[in-house]
Amino acid sequence: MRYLILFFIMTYWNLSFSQIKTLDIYIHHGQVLMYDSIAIDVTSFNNIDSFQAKHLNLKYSVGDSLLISIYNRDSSSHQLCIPYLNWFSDTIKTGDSLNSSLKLNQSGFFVLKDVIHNHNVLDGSIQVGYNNNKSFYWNIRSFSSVNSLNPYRPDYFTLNTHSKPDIVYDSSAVPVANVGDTVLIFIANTGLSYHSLHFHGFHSEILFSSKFSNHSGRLKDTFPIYPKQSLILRMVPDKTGIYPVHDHNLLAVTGGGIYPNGMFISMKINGQ
Amino acid sequence: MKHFINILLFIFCSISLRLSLNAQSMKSFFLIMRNTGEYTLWDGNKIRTFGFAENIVSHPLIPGPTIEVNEGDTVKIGAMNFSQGAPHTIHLHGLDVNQENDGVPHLSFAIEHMDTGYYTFIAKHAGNYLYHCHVSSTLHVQMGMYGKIIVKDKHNSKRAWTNGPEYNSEYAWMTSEFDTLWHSDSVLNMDIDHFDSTGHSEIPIPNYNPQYFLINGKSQNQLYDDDIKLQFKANESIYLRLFNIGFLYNEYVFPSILNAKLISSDGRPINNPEYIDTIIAFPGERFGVMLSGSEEDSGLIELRYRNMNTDSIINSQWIPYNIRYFASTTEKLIKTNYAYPNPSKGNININLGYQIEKSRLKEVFIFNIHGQRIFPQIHIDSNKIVIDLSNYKNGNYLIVVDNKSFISSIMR
Repeated sequence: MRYLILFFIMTYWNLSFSQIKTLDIYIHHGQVLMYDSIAIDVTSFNNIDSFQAKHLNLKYSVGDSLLISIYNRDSSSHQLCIPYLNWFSDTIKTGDSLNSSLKLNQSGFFVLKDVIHNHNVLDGSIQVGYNNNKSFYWNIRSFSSVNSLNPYRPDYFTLNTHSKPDIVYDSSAVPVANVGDTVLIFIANTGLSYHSLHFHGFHSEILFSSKFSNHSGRLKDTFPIYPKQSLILRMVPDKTGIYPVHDHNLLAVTGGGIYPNGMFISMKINGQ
Repeated sequence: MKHFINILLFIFCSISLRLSLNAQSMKSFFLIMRNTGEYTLWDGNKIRTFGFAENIVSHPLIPGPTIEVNEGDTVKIGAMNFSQGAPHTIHLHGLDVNQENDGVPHLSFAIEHMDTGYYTFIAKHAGNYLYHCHVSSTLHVQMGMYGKIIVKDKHNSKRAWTNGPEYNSEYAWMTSEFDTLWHSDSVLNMDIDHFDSTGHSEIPIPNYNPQYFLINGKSQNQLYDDDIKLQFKANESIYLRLFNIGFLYNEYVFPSILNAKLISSDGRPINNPEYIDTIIAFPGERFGVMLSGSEEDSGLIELRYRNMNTDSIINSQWIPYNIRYFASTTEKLIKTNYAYPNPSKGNININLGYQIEKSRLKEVFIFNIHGQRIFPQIHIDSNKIVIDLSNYKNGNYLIVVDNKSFISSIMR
C-alpha cells in the first residue's frame, strides 16, 4: 500500500512538471547575407513556414515531451538529428512531412543538425533546462562563399549569422550584465571549422560540454569548440567594462578576407 | 588605559602593514616594441618581423622576453613603441585584467610611435599566460608580437602553484607558425596604411599557408637546443608549460614512458588531473603538464600542427627527450655488499647471484659523478660481472643493472 501511494505521488510529480509540447519545423532554401552583402545559399529549418536566415534555437525544460512535425519545402531530401540525444528523424523527401517524438530527459545544450547536408545548412540548437538564468546564445559558424569543401577554406565566420560589426545589434548574443550576475553562455558550433573562443576579462566555468564530459568544472579563458559540438559556460563578472570575446584562431576574426570583420563580440559589464 | 589601547592599535596596524608589504612585491618590466626586426629561421632564411625586444638596439625576440613573476606580485609592464609604424599594445591574455589594462586599442589605449604606455595587474593565480599586441592582431601576432607570462607559486618553491604539485625542473614551449608571404613589405606596411584609432581599422588579410612551424621560435634541428630538448633524471618530475599563439591547433603525442599528466589549463588547476598521452592545445590555450620517467630512455615527442578548417596535419615537429639514470635520490639505491672491492684501483666486481646473458650487457648502465653515461669494458664471470674502470678517473661511479644500483669508488 505504501509503495502504491508513493507511485501515485511520483506520477503526479512527473506530470505536474513535465509537459507535452508540439514543435513544427519547416525546411526552406534561401540566402544568408554576410556583412558585406555577399549572399550565400543555405537551407534553414525554422518554426514558421517561410525562409528565415537564422539558426533555430529551441528552449525546453527537463522532462518535456516533444511531438515534432517536420515539413520539407526544400528541393532536396533532409534528415534531422540531435546526435547527443540519439534522436534521428527519418529521411524527408521534397514536399513531404513526417511526425516524430522526443522525450527530453537531461539538461544540456545540443546541436540540431542535418544528417544529409552538413555544409550549406543553418543547423540549429536545443537548450534543455537552465531556464532561470541570464543567458546569451551564440551559434558560431564558418561559411565558404565559393562553396568549396575540397579543401574546406571558409572566408566568413559568424555568430548567429552575424559578424563584426553587425553583431552588436543582436541582443540575444551580446552579453550585457552587472557585476556579480551569473551569466550563462550557450555556444553551438554548427559549422565545419574548429574554433577557439577567447574571453577577455574573465575566466568562465564549463558547465556542459557535448564532446568532453570530463571538462565540466574547468575554469578557462579560451575554449576550443569542435564542429557540431556545444558548450555551456558560466561566468560571474567581477568588474565593470567592455571586454571582447573572439576566436583566437585569428584568421577567423576576418570576414571576406578583411580584419576584424569576423568572429568578434564584446561583453558589457555594468556596475551593480 | 585609552592611550594604552591606542598604542596597541598603532603597533598592530604597523605590523599588519609590514606583513602585507612583505607578502606582495612589485615587479617591473620594460619592453621595446619594434617593426624592424629581422629573424633567422632554422634553414638560414631571414624574414622581417615585428616584435618585443629587451632593449632599443637589439632585434625583437621570437617569442618576446618571458615575463616571470610570483603569485601575489603587483606587476607593472612598461612598453615603448619604437616601431616607426602603427601603434602597438600589450594584451595580457588570461590574466583577467580590467578594461584599462586590457590592451585592446579602442577600449583601453594604443601606444603610438615614440610613446610609452604602462600596464599594471596583480598576478592572482600561478600559471601560464601570454601577452601579445592587440592592434590588428591577426597581422601583428603573425609578425611575432607575442611572449610568455609565467606566474610561479608564491614562495618560488618549484611547485606548479602555491601548495600545488612539486617538480624538479621546468620547460616552457610556445608554439606558433610563420608564413613568409605575410612578412613581405607589402603586407607588413598594410597596418600603417589602414590603422584607425577609433577601432575601425579594416585590413585585407592574405591566405595563410605557413612554411615554418615553431617552438620558442625554433624548429627542426634547433629543437635539440637546451631550452626545448627535455633532459631530466629518472624518478624526477618536470613541469612542462605549453602555450599556443599560432593559428593552427597543436597535438602533442607523448610516449607513455613519460607519464604525461595534465594538471592545469589556462592558469587554473584542473580539478580532475588526468594521465594522457595526447594533449591538444588550441590557439590561445595554455596547459601545464607534469612528466616523469622511472627508466633511462631517450626518444621523441611528436608535435602535430593541424589545420582549423580541414583538421589535416600540416606539419609535425619532433622534440627530443632524454631521461638519465642518475642517483640523485639516494633512497632509491639498494645498498649492497656485492660490489667489491670498494674502493677499487680499476676492476669492480658485482655479484648478481645469477648469470646474466652476454646480450644483456648493454643494459648495464654506468654513470660518472656528472650523470654522464660511460661505456667501460664489462666481462661476465660466472654469477658476477666485472667492470673495468682502470681507464677512468678517481671518483664515485653509479652502476645500474637489473633495477639494482651500486655505488663504487675508484681510488688509486
